[in-house]
Formats: sequence, C-alpha cells, structure tokens
Amino acid sequence: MGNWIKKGTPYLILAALSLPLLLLYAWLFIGAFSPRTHGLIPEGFTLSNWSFLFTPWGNRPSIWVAALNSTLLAGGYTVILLLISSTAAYALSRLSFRGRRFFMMLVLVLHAFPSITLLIAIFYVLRALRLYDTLIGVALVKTALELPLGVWVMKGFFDNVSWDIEMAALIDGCSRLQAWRRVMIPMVRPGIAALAVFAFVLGWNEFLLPYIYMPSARNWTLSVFIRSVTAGGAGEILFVNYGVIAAAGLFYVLPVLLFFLFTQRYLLQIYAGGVKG
Amino acid sequence: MRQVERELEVAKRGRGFSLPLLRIRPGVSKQGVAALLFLSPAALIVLLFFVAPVLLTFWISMTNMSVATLGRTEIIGFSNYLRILRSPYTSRILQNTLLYVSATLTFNVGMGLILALLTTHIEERVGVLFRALWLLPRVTPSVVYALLWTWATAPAPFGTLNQVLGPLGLPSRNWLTTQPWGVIILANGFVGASLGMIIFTSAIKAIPPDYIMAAQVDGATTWQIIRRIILPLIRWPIMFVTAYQTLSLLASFEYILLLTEGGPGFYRTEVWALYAYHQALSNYFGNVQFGFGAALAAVLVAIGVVASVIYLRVFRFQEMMSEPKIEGV
Amino acid sequence: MRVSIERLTKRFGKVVAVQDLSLEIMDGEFVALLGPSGCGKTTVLLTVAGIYRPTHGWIRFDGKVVNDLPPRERNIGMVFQSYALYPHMTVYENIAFPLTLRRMPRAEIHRRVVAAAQLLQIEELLDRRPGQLSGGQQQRVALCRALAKEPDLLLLDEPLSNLDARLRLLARAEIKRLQKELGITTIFVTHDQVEAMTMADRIAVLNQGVLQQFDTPEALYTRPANLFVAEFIGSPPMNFLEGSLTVHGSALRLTGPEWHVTLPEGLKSWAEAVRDRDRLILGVRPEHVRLAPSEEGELRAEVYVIEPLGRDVLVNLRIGSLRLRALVPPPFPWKVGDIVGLHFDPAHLYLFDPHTGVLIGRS
Repeated sequence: MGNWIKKGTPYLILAALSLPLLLLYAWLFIGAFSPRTHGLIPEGFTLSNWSFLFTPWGNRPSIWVAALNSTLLAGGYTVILLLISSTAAYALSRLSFRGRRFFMMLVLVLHAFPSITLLIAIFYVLRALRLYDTLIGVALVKTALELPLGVWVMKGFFDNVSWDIEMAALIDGCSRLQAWRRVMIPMVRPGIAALAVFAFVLGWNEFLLPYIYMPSARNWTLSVFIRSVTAGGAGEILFVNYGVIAAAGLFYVLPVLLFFLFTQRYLLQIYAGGVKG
Repeated sequence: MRQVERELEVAKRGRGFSLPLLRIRPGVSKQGVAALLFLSPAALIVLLFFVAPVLLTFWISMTNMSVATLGRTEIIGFSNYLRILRSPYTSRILQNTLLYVSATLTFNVGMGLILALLTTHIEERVGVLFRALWLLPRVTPSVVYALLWTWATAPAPFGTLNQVLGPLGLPSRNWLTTQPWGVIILANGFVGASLGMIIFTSAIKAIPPDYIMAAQVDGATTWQIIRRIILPLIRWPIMFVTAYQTLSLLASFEYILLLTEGGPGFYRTEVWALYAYHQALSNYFGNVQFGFGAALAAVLVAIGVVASVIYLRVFRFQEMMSEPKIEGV
Repeated sequence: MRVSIERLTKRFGKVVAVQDLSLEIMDGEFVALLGPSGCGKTTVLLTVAGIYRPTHGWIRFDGKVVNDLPPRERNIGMVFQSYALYPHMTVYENIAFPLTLRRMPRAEIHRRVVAAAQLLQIEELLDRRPGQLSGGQQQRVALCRALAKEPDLLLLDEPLSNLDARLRLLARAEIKRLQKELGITTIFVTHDQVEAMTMADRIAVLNQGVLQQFDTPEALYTRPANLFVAEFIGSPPMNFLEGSLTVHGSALRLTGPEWHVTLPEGLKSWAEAVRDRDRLILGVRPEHVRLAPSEEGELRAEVYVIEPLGRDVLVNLRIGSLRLRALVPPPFPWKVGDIVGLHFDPAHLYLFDPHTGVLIGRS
C-alpha cells in the first residue's frame, strides 16, 4: 500500500499540473461543434460553426486564401532556410578557412540575441528592398530570424558524420562539392527532416511578421485572419459567436496538431539540440 | 535560392573548386573559395536582416522621424533617449517589464525543472506522453493559444475558470481584465516551461545511472538524490535556460499583444518591447514615432548584444570548436 | 606504382605528427606502417592519399610529385578502420560509386562491380545496405570498393582491428593473397606487430612521428636498429638488462645490482669498442633464455608467475628488482617461488646504448 502511494504520487502531481492544459484545449474541440457552451459543457451539437469554410466571413477574404498564404509562407521559408543553413553549416563544420572562428561566434551570438528587437528596423530594410507587403519578404525575414538556430542545428548534424566517410568520398573521386551533395547531404537527412518539420510548424504559426509586414488583406495568413476575428481583446470578443471562432481556431491548429503527433520526435530533437550550449 | 544554384553551377562546371581564380590570387585556399560559396547566402541574410537593422535602429533612434515629420527628418542626437529618461511612463513600463520577466522566468524554470524531474521518475512511456502534452502550447499558433486563454478566463457563464471556481464560492469575473498579469504570466509560463523541461530532461537522462544507484545503495531518499546528485549535475543547463530565457522574455511581447494589447486601461501590462512596438509601428493615436520607438528598441538591442556576447564567454565556446580534418581539397 | 615519400614533415598547429620521414616503396610491394597509436602512421597514409597536405617534403608517384594533386586524381583505393561505407547506398552502389564518378558506361560499371564482388565472394550481398552486414562482410565490401576502381595504390588503415580474432586470421591471409595476386602496391597501417610481420614485405616502424627502421620482418626481428624496435617487435618483448661493463681477466662482464653476465665472444669485440661508456643494455629475447637447475645457471632467479600458453610456457622471473621473461617448452618442472638457473643463448644477444637506444652490436 505504502509502495503504491509512493509510485503513484508523481503521476498524480503531473496530472494535477497538466489539468489546466487539458481543459484549455478541450474547449477548442467542444466549442467548435456546439452552438454555445457554458464553460466546457456544450449546449447541443452543430456543424453550423463551420459555415465560414464556404461563405465569406464579413468583408474578409476567403479563409482558403489565408490558408494558401500560410502554406506558401511556411513552405517557402522552410525551403530557403534548409538551403541556406545546410550550406553554411557544412562550411562551418567541415571547411577550414580564414574567419571560420568569427563566423562560428557570430552564429552563436545571433542565436542568443533576441532578434525580435529588430522588428522596427527590419520594416525599413523591407521597404528599401521593395519587399514590404510581399510574401517573399516575410519569408526572408523569417528565414533570417531562424537562421542562427538552423545553422547551429545543421552544424551539429554535419559534425556527427564521421570524417572517414567524407575522406572516402574524396578518395573515391568526389570533388568537395560532390562529396557534399552525394554523400554528406544524404548522411544528414534526419537532420534536414527534423529542421524542416520544425521550420514548417514555426512558419505556419507565425503571427507577428505577417501581421506587421504584410497588412494587405490579399496577403493575410491564417494567423492574421483569426486575429482579425478575435482582436479587440476580451471585452469585444463576447459579442461575436464564440463557436465560430473556436471552429476557425481548430481549422488553423488542426494540421499542426496532426503533424505534431507524427513528428514530435523531430521537434524534440531540435528543441533539445538547438538551444543546448 | 537562385543565387546558390547559380554558384553551385559555376563550381560544377569548373570541376570542383580548382578554378583559374586560384592562380590569380594565391592567398586564397581552395577551401576558402568553397567556404565563400557555401557561406555567402547566409552572410547576405545576416547582413540584410541583422547587421543592417542593428545599425538602422541606432541611426533612427537619433532622428525625429515620425509620421508628422515624414519627408523632413532631422538628426536630433540623443533627444529621444533623454525623452525616455524624462517620460512619466518610463518607470511604469520598467516596473511592468521587471514583473513580467522575473515572474515568468521563475515559473518557466521552476515548472520546467518540476516537469523534468517528475517525467523522468515515472515510466518512460507515460513520461513521454506528459512531455508531449506540455510541448503542445509551443507548437500551437500564438493567436489560437491566446484565444484559448481569453476564453478560459472569460466571465460566467462562458469561462471555464469561473465554472470551476464557481462552486467554491468565488464570484464570477473577467479574469483577463481584473487579473491581467496573472493570466499573462501563466499563459507565457505554460509555453516557456517546455523549454526547460526538454533541456533538463535530456540532462537528467545523461547522468550515469551508476551515481543514482550508488546513492540508493547508500540509503539516500529520492529527495536527497534530487538535491545532492541531480541538481548539482544539471547546474549548467539550469543556468543556461535561465540566461537564455531572461533575454528572450525581455524582448518578447507577442502574447501580451494578443491577450491584452498592453491594457486594460492605461499601460497596465505594457512592457518595454511592446511599448517600443507601439511607439514605432502601431501607435494608438495614429502618430507613429519611429525615432522614439527606435530609441526604445535600441536599449533592448544594446542589452541583447552585450548579453549574448557574455553568454558566449560563459558557456565555453572553445569546447565547441574542433579543427577540420581535410586539407587537400 | 612506385611511391616515394621524401623528407615528409607534417605539423598540426604546433604538434609534429610526422618528422622528416623518407620511404621508398617499390612497385607491387606490400609495406606496413607499424607503431603504437598516435605515432603518426595514419597521418602518413592520409598525406599519401591527399587528404592532408605535407608541411614539408614531397610525395612522388612513379617519380612525379603529387603534393598538389587532389585525392580524386590520385587513383587510390582505401579501406578505413571504420570501413566508411556509405549507409544510404546499397553494397552495389557503394562499389559502383567511384566508377560512376568517372562517368564510366553503365555496362562496364556492372561488369567491374560483379567481377570485384566475385573476387571477394560477396555477390549475394550486393542488394543489401551496409547496416545489414556483419563486421566481416563490411570489411570485404570496403575492400571490394577499393579494388573495383583498379587503383594504382591500395591504402589500408587498420582494416582488421574491428574484426574478432578468428575472422582476423582469415582476413589476414586473404588480403595477403589478393595483394600478391593483383600486384597492387599497398600501404598498410597497423599497431599490431603480428599483423605487420605476417603480411608485409617490408615494415616501417614509427614512433612519435619518427621512422625507427624500415626493413623486412625478418631483419626487424634479428637486427633491430634500436631499443624501441627491439621491444616493439617480437611477442613477448625482449628482456633488457642494464648494467656497467667490468673487466675480469680476459673476460668482459656486464654487472647489475644483483647479477652479472659474462659477455660471449660474439659480443666482446663490440663491447670493447665502446669501453668508455659507463653503462650498457643487454638484450635477450624470451625464447633465447634457457632454464636449468639453480646450481647450473649463470644467473639465479626466482620463479614469479607461470603462464602456460599451450605450445610454450611463459615464465616471469625476478632477480632482485629485475624482471625477466623466458619462453620455454613444456613441461615446466618448477613452481612459483622456486629458484632456477638461467642461460642466455650466446648466439642471440644484443647490446644497446642506454643514452641513444641505438644497437651497438649483436652476437
């Protein structure tokens, strides 16, 4: 009996600590399918909350346009990030050149640096590049913000490839570039997959950058779209139909949740590896 | 992207990196040329979106640039900084920032540690499940996550919190307007705790089981093992998470923006970073003051640059550097 | 192909890995680089391969300096200690990889891969991935990949050290047979003197980046150039007795704290030539120590440990603080603690200079 209590205690504490989280998310699923809820108790079942999928919501653009924009932003930025970090990380991990130390330190400093403080100035950079209010502009900014992490993570994966393999490739007849493309890149495939999953989720979720740098309605991503529904804070929100908002929120978050179920392993790898000193 | 491809193409046609260029500039090694190709896209991005903005931030902070003065911007030196010092709001913002950072940090690190210790002391499969659950807020889009909290803290009969507390005799209220700091700190904390949780978990798992077993054989209780063995051994990760999160919390404002917009009322939950954002990009009164906002941001940028360089020193950069082993090509 | 290493020095920062090394390797010759770990032997191999660049000195292939030639233009086959098989390719693709890089026609590639696979008897493995192979199979695939490109030079970096003892014996014989059959110039790096002795035509013994001796296995055993080689070659290692030279009538004696040995005729002239040296080291291999009843021997020693090896018995002996080993045929009539007499075979004794370690002479 005593042993049973001892064994059970950690489970109980964990469950108690995690209960608020469960309740938070439970509402999203309950609210999306009921006309009204009292707390977590639904008043019946309905699918009418989902009508926004087929009919316009006020004077907003179609939610499908926003979904497309979110996909383009997340996908585009993921591809750019992977390309740039896997080339830079390879150089830092494997090539000897003057300035290697400097670049390494730069990556590390930028990694710790709170880049969000540069939001104001980046606004001007985008305007100067004529990329303000464009998807590619926001994708580039997002790439920049995640680049230190991307390079750091990819460098870790390149570091773990045995030197023998690369030496063998060179002796077998590869140039350095061929060795990178035909041997090294396939060897770090798990790293690329992990970073891709991580980056895509981050891009899909991104709110501030599109909100600040892509104000036109045609450029709205799902985050900005949903913000336009919930904005005004707690006071105003009570006058709109909560069920519809829950449905829209669920529509937005569901792909991430499903994705998360299958790729959790990858995400953990990046979180654990990316910030570890 | 195009540029990388083009560079790769050039390199391929030149059969690796033995380009004629080498003979013209004997100072550059073959690997130097390769490194240049591989690094230039990243360098360009860093230049455009880190180096230039840092300089720009400081430059704009020295001007009176605003919507009102657009087109006739003048350099006004440190006036914006003086204005920060003299502003009656500064102390309020500062207090808010301090409260926000310290309270959230305490929750993050403490909860991260508790979660890591608990989930490593139970069966691994269940531990993984709980860790996944706590990772959920981190992978949830911020707008949806903020929505969840807004709803949970809404007044009766809607909010879950009031529904739970109602039977206990507490009167219903809109928690977000009556207790905005509590909600902000908890909402942020439930996101932030997962970072500590993940890092501490992997640090705890890296402790050789022999240590723990030896202590158990010596008759130590679980609590003694945690205090005397585990905590001292994960001292560095704890320090790292604390340092890293202090800096990112100082600069973050996304969840506050989404939950309260700095309100309710006048600057009730406005923190430094949000204040800078409001001044420079989204002023209530339509008078966007780029210069003043930039000066506010510049303070954070300066703190960020100094702190991240210090971290680099403290967290032993040397150990991460190892020399490449291929020289010829 | 003839490989010449001329006055090669290789430094990494301040660390000198190889110092002023010169080796001339003949066409078709099988040379082993032998030394303890960290002696610079792998550095030599990788410099020959073109992975490292010499700090000083030259590498020549058939007389032509190749210092600036990238590895891919050297036509070398190499087997790494870790085998370095590409895990994302099948065995077939691994072996074909060097050939595809040369843009060889597909039919030709296929012919060569199959021929090489037959040679190494790995045809049934061609569709597998390296991860599905045993250590011995991986080693064969690595060798196969190195040979399929028909290299002018084969480099082997400790290819046997990851195999278990039984497989190692098999692989040893097989590599030797293949090398002779194909006639490819081969450099073989190992820390195992038995491997080097059994496989190589000539052995270069390295210590701390410096060449100690480059000679045939037999010469290394019978005429070690210095103390290091004498101790490194031969198992169990040679016994060393350090003492001072004293004259007793017409005889010369080497005298230690608790023992003395009269030098045989064969060593006397050598010893006389260096009479001014205060101290000398006498070397004798365990197999050249004979045991006798205590009253008969020139020296008297206590039996300390007895290790039966099957074919021989390895006896550890002590004379005061001096430890000696003797390898004697069974049966061994004494037990631990007994006092026995010792003879050294007068035809197999060595004299070394204790300051320089250099061999002064042998009987």
